[in-house]
Amino acid sequence: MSHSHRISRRQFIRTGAAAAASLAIVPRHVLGGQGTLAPSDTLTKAVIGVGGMGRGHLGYPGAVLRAVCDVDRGHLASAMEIAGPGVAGYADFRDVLARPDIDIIHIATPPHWHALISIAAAEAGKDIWCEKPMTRTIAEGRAVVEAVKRNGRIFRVNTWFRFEDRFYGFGTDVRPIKKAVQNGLLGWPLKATVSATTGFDWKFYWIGLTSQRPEPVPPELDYDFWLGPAPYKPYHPHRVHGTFRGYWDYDGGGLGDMGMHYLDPVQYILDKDGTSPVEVWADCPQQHPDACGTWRRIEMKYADGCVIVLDGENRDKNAPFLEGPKGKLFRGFESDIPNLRETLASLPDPEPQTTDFAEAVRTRRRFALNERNGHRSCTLVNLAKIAVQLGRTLHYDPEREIFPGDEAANRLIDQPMRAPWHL
Amino acid sequence: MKRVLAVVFAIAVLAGPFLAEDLKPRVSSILERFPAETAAVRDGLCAEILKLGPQGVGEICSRLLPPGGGNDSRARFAANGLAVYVTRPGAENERALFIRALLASLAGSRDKSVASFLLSQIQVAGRTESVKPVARYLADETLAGPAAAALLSIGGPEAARAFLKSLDTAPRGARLTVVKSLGDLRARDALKKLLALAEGGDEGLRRAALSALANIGDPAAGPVLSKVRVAVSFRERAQAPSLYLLFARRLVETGRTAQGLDAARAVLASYGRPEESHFASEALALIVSALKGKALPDLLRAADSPDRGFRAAALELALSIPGSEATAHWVEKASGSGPDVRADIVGMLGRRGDAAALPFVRESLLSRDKLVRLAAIPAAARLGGEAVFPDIVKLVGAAGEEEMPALRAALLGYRGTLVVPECVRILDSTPLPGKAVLIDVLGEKGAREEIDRVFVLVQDPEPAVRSAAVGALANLAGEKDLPRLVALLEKASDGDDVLSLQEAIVSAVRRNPDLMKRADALLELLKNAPPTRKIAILRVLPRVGGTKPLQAAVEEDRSADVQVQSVAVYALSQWPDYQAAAELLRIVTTTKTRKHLLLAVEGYVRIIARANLPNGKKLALLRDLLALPMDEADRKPVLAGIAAVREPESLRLLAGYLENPVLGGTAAAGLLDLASEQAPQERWLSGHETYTVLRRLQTALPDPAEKEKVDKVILERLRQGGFVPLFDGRGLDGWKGLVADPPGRAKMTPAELAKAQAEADERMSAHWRVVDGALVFDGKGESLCAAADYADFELLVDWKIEKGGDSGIYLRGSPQVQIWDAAINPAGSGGLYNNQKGRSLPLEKADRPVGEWNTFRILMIGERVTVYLNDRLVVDNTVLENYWERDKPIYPSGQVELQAHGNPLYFRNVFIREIPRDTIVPEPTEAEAADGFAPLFNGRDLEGWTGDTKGYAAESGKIVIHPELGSGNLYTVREYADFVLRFEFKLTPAANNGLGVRAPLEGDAAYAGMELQILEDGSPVYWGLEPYQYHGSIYGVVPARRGALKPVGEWNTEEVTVRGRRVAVVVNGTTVVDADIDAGGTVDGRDHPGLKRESGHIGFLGHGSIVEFRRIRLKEL
Repeated sequence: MSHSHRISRRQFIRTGAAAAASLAIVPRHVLGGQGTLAPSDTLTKAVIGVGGMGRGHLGYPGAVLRAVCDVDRGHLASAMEIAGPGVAGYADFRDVLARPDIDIIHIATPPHWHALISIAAAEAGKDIWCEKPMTRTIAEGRAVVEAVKRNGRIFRVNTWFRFEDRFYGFGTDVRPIKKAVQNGLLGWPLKATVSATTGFDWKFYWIGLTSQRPEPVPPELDYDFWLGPAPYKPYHPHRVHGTFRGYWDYDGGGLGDMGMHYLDPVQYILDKDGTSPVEVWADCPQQHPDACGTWRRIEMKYADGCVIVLDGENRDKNAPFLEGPKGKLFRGFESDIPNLRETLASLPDPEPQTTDFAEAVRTRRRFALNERNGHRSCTLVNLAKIAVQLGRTLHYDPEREIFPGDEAANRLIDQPMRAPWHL
Repeated sequence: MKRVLAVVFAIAVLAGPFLAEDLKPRVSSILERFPAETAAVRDGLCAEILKLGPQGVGEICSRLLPPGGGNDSRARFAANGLAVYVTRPGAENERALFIRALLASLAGSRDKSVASFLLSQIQVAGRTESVKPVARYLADETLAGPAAAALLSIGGPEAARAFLKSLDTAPRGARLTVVKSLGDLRARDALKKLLALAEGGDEGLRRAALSALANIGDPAAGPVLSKVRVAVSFRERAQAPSLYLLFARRLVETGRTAQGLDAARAVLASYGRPEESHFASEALALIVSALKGKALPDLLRAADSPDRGFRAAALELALSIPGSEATAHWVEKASGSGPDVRADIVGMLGRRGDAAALPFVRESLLSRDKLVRLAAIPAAARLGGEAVFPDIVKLVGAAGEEEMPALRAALLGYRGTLVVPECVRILDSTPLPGKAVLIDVLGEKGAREEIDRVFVLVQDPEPAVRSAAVGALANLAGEKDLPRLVALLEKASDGDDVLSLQEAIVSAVRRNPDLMKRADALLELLKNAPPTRKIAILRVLPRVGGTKPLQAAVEEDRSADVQVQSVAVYALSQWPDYQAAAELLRIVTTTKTRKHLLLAVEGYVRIIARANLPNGKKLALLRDLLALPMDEADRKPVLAGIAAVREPESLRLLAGYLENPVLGGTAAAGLLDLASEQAPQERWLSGHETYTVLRRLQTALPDPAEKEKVDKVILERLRQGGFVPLFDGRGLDGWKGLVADPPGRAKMTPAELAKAQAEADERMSAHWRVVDGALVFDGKGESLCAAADYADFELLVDWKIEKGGDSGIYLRGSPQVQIWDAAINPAGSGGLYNNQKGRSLPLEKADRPVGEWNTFRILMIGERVTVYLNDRLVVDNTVLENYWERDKPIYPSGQVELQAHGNPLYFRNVFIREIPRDTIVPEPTEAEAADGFAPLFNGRDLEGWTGDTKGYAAESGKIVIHPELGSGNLYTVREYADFVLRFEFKLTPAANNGLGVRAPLEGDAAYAGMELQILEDGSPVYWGLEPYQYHGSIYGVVPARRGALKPVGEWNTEEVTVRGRRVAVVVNGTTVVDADIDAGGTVDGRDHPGLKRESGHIGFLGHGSIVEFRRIRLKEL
C-alpha cells in the first residue's frame, strides 16, 4: 500500500493503464535530494485526487501544475494526458508531499480523506486548497484548524459564494446582503431560509444503495488505499467514483455535496464565523446506517436566536431568504424595506476580504474562506448530518464543540479511523 | 417507568418459549414498516421490538445477511434504528437489553461481514460492559478494525486495558490497529511494550508505535523520538519533526512544560531552512501556547527572519498577545526594520486592533516604500476609522495603480455622507488612476444627485474615465435619465459599454416603485423611434418584463422593418415568465421565417420549464407543441424540454421518438438524462416501464461502450427498485446444478445432499457457459438452478431459443412457465404448462420469432403467478399447481430453475426482487387514537360495512376480495362528509379497484359520487392510460401524479383528506392530488353530478381483481 511508485507519463502512455501494474517501482533515493526550487514568483501545485472534481483543479489559475496523484490508475493516466508533459504522476499522496518543489496541494479526493491529507500537507509545509466539504467530521475539522495554525499554512476551501460569484437567486454577490445585515437594516435576530424559493435548490440527493452485491475490485483501483481511514466494506462500484457521496463512510449525501456552498455565505452574513448553533433539528425519513437518504427540513438555532432553515422540500413558498424584526430580503433582492438599494448604497461596506489565493500564499495572508471559518461552516453541514442520522433534536456547545450529555451524537463527532490512519 | 419496563422484560424473558412461535411473524410485520418515514414512527417501531425482549432483537439480527446474500436492508434499518433509539437520554435499561442481545447475536454470528455490522452498532450504543466481549475480536485479522472502532468509541481505561492485553496475541494486521488505538487512548500503561516495538524491525509497526508514543507524550519516549531523525526509512525521517513536536505538545498539555519547551526549542534551533520553516513555526506556536505573553521576545526575534512564511507565522501568533506594551515593542521593531518586515508588522498591527499603534500606522501611509503603504491603508482605516479618512483621501490623487484596490475598499468602508462630498470636491483635480476610483465610488455610494457630472464624464476622451462613468450610471440612473441612457446605448459599440448601459436602463426602470407604471417612461421612448433606437430598447425589454413591455414587443413583432421584427421575436423568446407563452405559440404557428420559428420554440420551451406549473401541465403543453407542424429537426429543443420534466410521462413521450431518424438521438439523450445514475431516486424509474424503454434504447444504440453505459443505468435503477442480479454476465456464481426434485431432495440427509450437489455442480459446468454476457446451454445435461431459495418474488429474465426449442422457468422448484417455439405451438410461451385445474395456456401469443430475445416478467406471490411476455399479460394472477405432489398446494419457497430440455438455450439479464411476506396485523397506534382516528374495520368481520359482503371477506386483519365470488362494491353503512381516511392496501399485478367517496349506495360511484382510483398503474397493460386514470386520481376529474406506488406485492399507505371542496390524496408519503374539485371542471368531458354531494358512503369499488386492504381508520373533521 505504501510503495513509493512514481509513474512517468511516457511509460504510462506506452504501456497503457491496463498494464500499469507491471510498471517499475522507482526507489525513493532515485528521486531524492533537493528538488528544483521554483522561482520565487511562480507558485507550483499538485492535485491529489484527479477523478471528478480533481479534473477542474488541474486548470485553476495561480500556480503551475507539477504533479497529480490518484489511487485509480485510470484516473491518473487520463489526468496526466490532460496535464501534458512535465507533470509527474503518483499513487501515494505522501510521495507528493515529500517533493520540496511544490507549494500548494489541491485536495479533490472524497471527503473522508480531506482531513488526513490536509494535516499531512500542513506538516509538510504546503499550503492547501481543499474541496468542500472541508472535513467529514467535526473532530477532523478541529484537527485541520490546529495543524494549519501550528504550521503557519494558508488554507482555503473550494467554495465561492462568500466572496465572489453571484449569490444564487439574488443577482448579486453576497456583499450588499452582508451590508444590509451588518448595518442593522433587518434588525436582530435573523432567520435565514435556504430553499429553491430563496434561490438555493437542494436538488442534489446522492442516495446510497441499501443492498449491494459485492463485486471484484477493478484492477486499476487500489481500493484499500481509496478506503484509507474509512471502515472496510466490500467493494461495489456505487461506493466509489461519482457516487460515493451516497455513503456516510465517505461523505453525507446532498448535504455533504452542496451544504458548504449554501451554508458558508449564510454563516458569513449572520456573522457566525466564530461560533456554531446550539440546537439542531431534522425532519427526515429514517436513515440507513450505511447509505445516505433524503431529508425534508433541518433547522439550526444559534444562542442569540438566529435560525438557519434548510427547506429541502421547498415548502415555504413565500419564505424570504432573510427575515428579521425590521425587514425581509427575498429572492431577486426584493425587500419589504422601502428604497433598500438607495439606503444601502450610502452605508459603509463590509471589510474587504482576501480573495486571490495565490496572492494570499505569496503574502502569507489568511484567505477569505480559510480553515477557521471553513471549519465552522463545515460544522453546520456535519451538525445537520448528525441530526439526520440520529433523528432527534441535538444540543450543541459551540465553545467545547460537543453535544453535552448526548453520547451517541458525540460519537459521531470523532469517529475512529482504520489503522494505520489517525488524526 | 423503570419498574414497569423491568416487568415487561421479565415477562418477555419468561414468556420466551411461548412466544417463540409467534415471534417470527411478529418481527416480520414490524420489519415490514421499516424504514420509518419519521423519527417518531421509528421510535414507535423500536419500542414495539423492545417489547418483544432480547429475542425480538435477536430475531432482527438473525435476518442480517452477508452482502450479496439478499436484501436485508429492513433488518439493517431496524438494528440501527434500535441502536440510535436506545441511546436517547434515560433509556439505560433498554440500552442494556439491546446491547446484551446484540452481543449474543455477535457471539453466534458465523459470517464476518454480519459480525462487522453488529460491531458497528455496538460502536453506536455500546458501553463499558461491552468492552470485554468486543475485545475478543481484536484477535481476528478481519474484525479487529470494527472491534477497535467500537472500543475507541466506548473509550475509557477499560478499553485501553483491553487493547494492551491483546497486543501480544493479536495477528500482525490487527497489531497495527491495536498499537494505533493505544496511542489514540493515550494508554500510558503500554509504554514499555510500545518502546520495544519502536525499536523493532517491522517498519509499519515501528512507525505506528512511534506515533502512539508521541501521542501518549510520556518523557520516557523522548530519546527514541528524538532519534527518529536519523531513522532508516525516508518516511520516518520526514515524519520525525512533526512527531517530536506532537510529543512536546503532549508534554506541555500534561504539565511538563519545561520538558516540552526544551523539545520545542530544539526543533526551533535545528529547522531554519526555508523549506523546513514550518517546523520552526510549529515549535514557535508551542512556545507561545506555553509561555503566552512571555514568548514576546521569541516572536520579536522570529519577525526578523528573512523567511516570509516563518515571519508571517510569528506575526499571526503575535495577534494572541494583547496589550499596549507589546504594541510598543512591535512599533519599535518595525521602525528599525527594512520595508518587508515593516510592512508585515504594520499589517499585523492593523489586524491586532490596538489603537495605540495608530500614530505609527498612519505615519506608514506616507512611507516611501510601496509595500509599507499598501499594508498601511487597510490597517489605518481599521484602527483609525473616520479620523484617518482625510489621510486616505489625500492618497487617492498621488497613489499608483497597485494601491487603488486598497484605497477603493477603504473609501467604501466609510458612510456615503462623508465620502461623496469629498469625492466630488477632488474629482476634477485628481488625475488617473485615482479619478476612475472616485467615479466608481460615487456610483457605489449611490450619489444620484451627482449624475449630471457622471453623464459629462461619459464623453471623456480618456477610455478609463469613460468606462468608469458608464459603469457608475447603473448605480445612479433614475427614470428621468432614460432618454439620455437610450441615446447613449443607441450609439455604444463597445461590448462592455452596451452591457453596462443596458444594466443602467433596467435599474433605472426598476427604481419606479409603482409596478404598473414602471416601464411607461421607457415605452414612451419606443414610440415613433427610429429603427436603431427601437432595436436598442427591444433588446432590454425582456430584462424589464411586465405586461406593457410585452405588448410593446408584440406590436414591434409586426413591424415592417425586418430587423426590428427579428429583434422583437428575439425579445419575446427571451421573456422571463409565462406571460409570453401565448405570443410565442402564435409565432410558432404563423411565422414563415425558420429563424423566428426556432427562436419561438426555444423560448416557449424555456418559459414552460421555468413556469410555476404542475409537471403534468408542462408536459401537456409540450405535447401540444409537438403536434404543431414544423420541421422534424426543429422539435429537438421540445424533446430536450420534455426530458427536463421528471415524470413517467416524459419517459413515455421520449420513448415514442426512439426510432425516429431525426430525433432518435435527442430522445435517447433525454431518456438517459431522465434515468441517469445521478438522477434522484424515484419509484417509477425503477419500474418496468423504465426497464423496457431503457432496453429498447440499448438495442437502438450502435456503440458497445454506450450499450454498456445503459447497462449500468439499468442496473442502478433496478437496484433502487429492490432487484438484485441473479447473473453477473461473467460467470456462474450464484448458480448450481440440479439435484433430484423437491420431494427427492427433502428425503436426503444434509451430507447426501451436499455430495449430490457437488456432483451436480460438476455436471452443470460441462454444459452451461457464459458467452458474450449470456448464459448458454449446449443442449445436453440438466437444468440450471439459482443457488438460493425464493418465496415471493418478481423475476426478470430474457430468453432465446432456436428452431423447435423448448424450455421453461421453474418457480419454487416446480414446473413451469413454458418456453417453446411458437411457430410449432401457436398458443405461445408463458403459460403455466402443468396446470390441470386452472388455466395452463397463455392469454395470448406474445412471442418474438425464434432466434430473437424475449423478456419475461414473472411475479410469484403466495400461490399465484402473473406472467408478462414482452410486456403483454399472458398469465393473470393464476394459481400455480403442485406438479410433484398433486394433492398439495405449491411449496412456500424453492429454487428458480432454467429448464433443460435437450436443445440449446440462451438466457441473460436475470434479476430478482424478493417481496416481503406479511403475516400479522399491525395494531393501530396510540398516537392516532389520541388524534381522533377510529378504526372503520374491526379486523374480524365486516361489521359496519354493507354491499357485496360475499365477494369481500375479512381475513386475518385484512379485507380481501375474492373475484370469483363477486366483484361488486363494499360500502360503509354510515355516511361521511369531511374526513381524513387512512388505510393500507396491497395490489396484485394489474389490479384495479377504486375508493368511493361521498357516494350513494346506488349507481356508478365514479359519477354519482367520487371515485379515487386504485390501480396498479405501473403494469405494462396500462400503458395507454390517461393521467386522470392513474392511481389516486379523482377519476375523470383530477389527474394524479404517478410514481408513488410501491412495487407490486408490497403494502402501500394512503391518506385521503376530504374537506369541503378540497380533496388531497397522499400515497406513501407523496402528495399525488391536492385539488379544489370545483376548480378545473372535468377532464374526461363527462358529467360528474356526484361532485356536488356534501356527504355519502365510503366504499371499495370492485373491478374483478384481487386487492387487500387493512388498517382502515378515519377521523371526522
